[in-house]
Amino acid sequence: MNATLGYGLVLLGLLCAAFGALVGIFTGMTRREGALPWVQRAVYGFSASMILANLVMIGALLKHDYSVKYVAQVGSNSTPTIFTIVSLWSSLEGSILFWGAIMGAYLFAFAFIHRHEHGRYMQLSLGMMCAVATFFAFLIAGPANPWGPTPNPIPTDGPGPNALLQNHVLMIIHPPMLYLGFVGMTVPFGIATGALLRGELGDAWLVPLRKWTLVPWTFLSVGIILGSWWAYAVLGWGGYWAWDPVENASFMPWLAATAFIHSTMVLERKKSLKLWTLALALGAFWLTIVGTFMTRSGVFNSVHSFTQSDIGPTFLVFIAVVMLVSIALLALRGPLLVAETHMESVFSREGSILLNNLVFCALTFTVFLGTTYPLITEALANKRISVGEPYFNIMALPIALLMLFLMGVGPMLPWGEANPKTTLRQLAAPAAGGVLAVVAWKLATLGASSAGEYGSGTVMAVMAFGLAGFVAVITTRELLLPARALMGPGTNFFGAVVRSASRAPRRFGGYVVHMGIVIIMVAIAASSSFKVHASGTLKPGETLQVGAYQVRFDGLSSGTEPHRKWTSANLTIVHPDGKEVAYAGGHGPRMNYYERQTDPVGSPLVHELVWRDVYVSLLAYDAKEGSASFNAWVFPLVGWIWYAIPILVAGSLISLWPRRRQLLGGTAPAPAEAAKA
Amino acid sequence: MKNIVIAAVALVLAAGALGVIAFGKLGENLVYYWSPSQLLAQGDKAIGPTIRLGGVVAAGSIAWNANKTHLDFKVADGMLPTASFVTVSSNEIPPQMFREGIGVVVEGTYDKSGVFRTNRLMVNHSNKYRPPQEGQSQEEWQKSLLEEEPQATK
Repeated sequence: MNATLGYGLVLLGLLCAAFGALVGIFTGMTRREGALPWVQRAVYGFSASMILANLVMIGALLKHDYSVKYVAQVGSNSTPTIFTIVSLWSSLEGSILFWGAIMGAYLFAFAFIHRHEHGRYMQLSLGMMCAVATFFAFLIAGPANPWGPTPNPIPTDGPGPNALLQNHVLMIIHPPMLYLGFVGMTVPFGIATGALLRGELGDAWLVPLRKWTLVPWTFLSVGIILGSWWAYAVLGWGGYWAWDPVENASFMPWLAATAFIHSTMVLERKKSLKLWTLALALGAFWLTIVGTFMTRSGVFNSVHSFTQSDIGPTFLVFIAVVMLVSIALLALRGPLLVAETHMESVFSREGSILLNNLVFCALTFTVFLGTTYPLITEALANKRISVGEPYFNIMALPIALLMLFLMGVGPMLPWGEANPKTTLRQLAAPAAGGVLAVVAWKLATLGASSAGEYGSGTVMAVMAFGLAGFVAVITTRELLLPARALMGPGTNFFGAVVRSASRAPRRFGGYVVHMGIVIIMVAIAASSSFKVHASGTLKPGETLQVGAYQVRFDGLSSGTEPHRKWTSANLTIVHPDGKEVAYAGGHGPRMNYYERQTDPVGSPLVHELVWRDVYVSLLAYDAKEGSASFNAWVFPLVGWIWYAIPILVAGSLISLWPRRRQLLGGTAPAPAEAAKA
Repeated sequence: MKNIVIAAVALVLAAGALGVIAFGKLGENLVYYWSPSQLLAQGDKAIGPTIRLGGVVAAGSIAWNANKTHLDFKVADGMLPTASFVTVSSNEIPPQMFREGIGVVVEGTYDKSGVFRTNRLMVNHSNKYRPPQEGQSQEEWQKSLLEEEPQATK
């Protein structure tokens, strides 16, 4: 029953998407503008059937309807309700189905918000989005069909979702964030290809193009950071980023989208870099598809096993089609997009943005090369190799420092051409800020390094601190200067800041995001190069010294929860000032035994402090002797990577906020987007 | 026009430099994934580069030092006594699942004396269905999971 209904809805969605794509693109190209309502109806039909299909699946999961193949695969009677709902995206078929619902939501939001827009532009853009939707609906209906019948006899219980999924609450919100980021890139892809098909990028679409990229960009940023937080808080190997293919898969589209958002400023302001900007939009979308392929087809287990996965070959074809269509559109239609101004000087805002774009592309290329190289060698030479983390670090760190530098210099330079003298004068305060940041760090860690409280650090990390201070001063100045100009008698400073922000929300929000990025960069530099590590096997009562902290082992304890059993080490963290914090009764690092998994899943203890984390993971224990082995780290500033999430989100929301003029003017796309974010 | 040519040349040069550096660094940081027999077949070529050695922990080969900070064991192609093996020396404390017969991947370097030194020890997970038996305590169940028929997964 559920299976038939769900599959029927998916087929209906496929039909609507295919209809919308054909009608939208065909009538758009032949200038039959009367067909737009039909395209809109197709989009609404697709959205409704996809969202309904997901609700049917959630219903089947909650009712433990094991006659549905996917429920039999991930469901279990003993799984808590919340994890039962989450298991919708715990496995391949379900996550692709969920993907369809998000696609439906985005397409609905876009079609509805811009429902009063006329013209074939809308038809072409919606048509292209429907074409992408058709592919995903086809995937759900065919190769990744979650609705298939369970072979008889129908079981009365199932294995439950992946234990790692059940192990932490972050796993509930991290995947949807990434999906919202990945799927959302379909909208700018649609707008960009629509513009190329029409051979013209209308001024009216410049702001929506940027905003519709900023929405998925924000989700993607949050998703990436939450993913690294999850890896840190759950996996217990003592890190948050390992240049793993799965991580890179989300990082590459983020890089391309970030470059794109920056170049749209040149597009909006100078009406140039049109082709380049659209190429970035297409590239970001293509990388989301490549990323999905990399994470979902199992290609990284072995190149030769991916063809056995149901979706691998289908995805590969889609990747090729998107690439060919993109290149063809850019080559054939690109020359029609004429720049309306030319760059006067590289030494200008637009010059720095172009440079920023090139640096982002360089990093994307670097990561792409390192990620795909093992696949290529395995496919061509049948040799199994992997690219070591050092490659990524050696390549990415200097590029990241260059980005940080440009993040400071760019906002200082005016549009058009900068005056060297003024620029030099303006550099004084930021340069002092940079020096101050390095001095502050040295003072804060004075003597601490030699005492073993922190790692020795690297030159690059210290450079990152200096550049961060430099950027922080410039960004603060850019954030507050307009407010100072607005200050008059009777206005307080805070009111002036709010007023300046509401006058130029894009600019203000952008700098807030920059502040968040500076914090993240500092936190990454500090936590990766100044960390301290210790490991050892302890008997009860013994301690392990890590940095300035002592970890005392107080014995083992174990217990039972509805869906798992655990064994935990009772630990006391002794601070340098003698303060003791005890973690007992399952709050220490532990091993979780899920009912239907043979291997235990560890959970580390993260003793979170404002300026550092003490991180202890339980490697192994010997119940007979009562001893346990630990890995322990002190990570300076690491928490600030995730504490910066609200800053990034706040900045994006401010940027998405419509300007008052736009509100009155009638084309106000943003409130719904902002509410959604 | 002249500016565009200069910009294009600069761009090509920069892109070329990036490519050369990237490929160079890539070559320096490749990690080879070999089984014990593949590693032994490499001869001297195996000495030096970072290698991921994958195989199973040979029966009866796990040897700890007195205070359990150092560990020696053998990684073999399979569970047969005749399978080729490589001796591994690790300062890393292995995870709970580590035991004879389990599939492992160790990352490290092979030296002239024929010892593989590792600082990274990963255990292959198996996710076989195994509910606790009636009347079995948690300890007994966990123990049974760990002592379960080892699988030589690769």
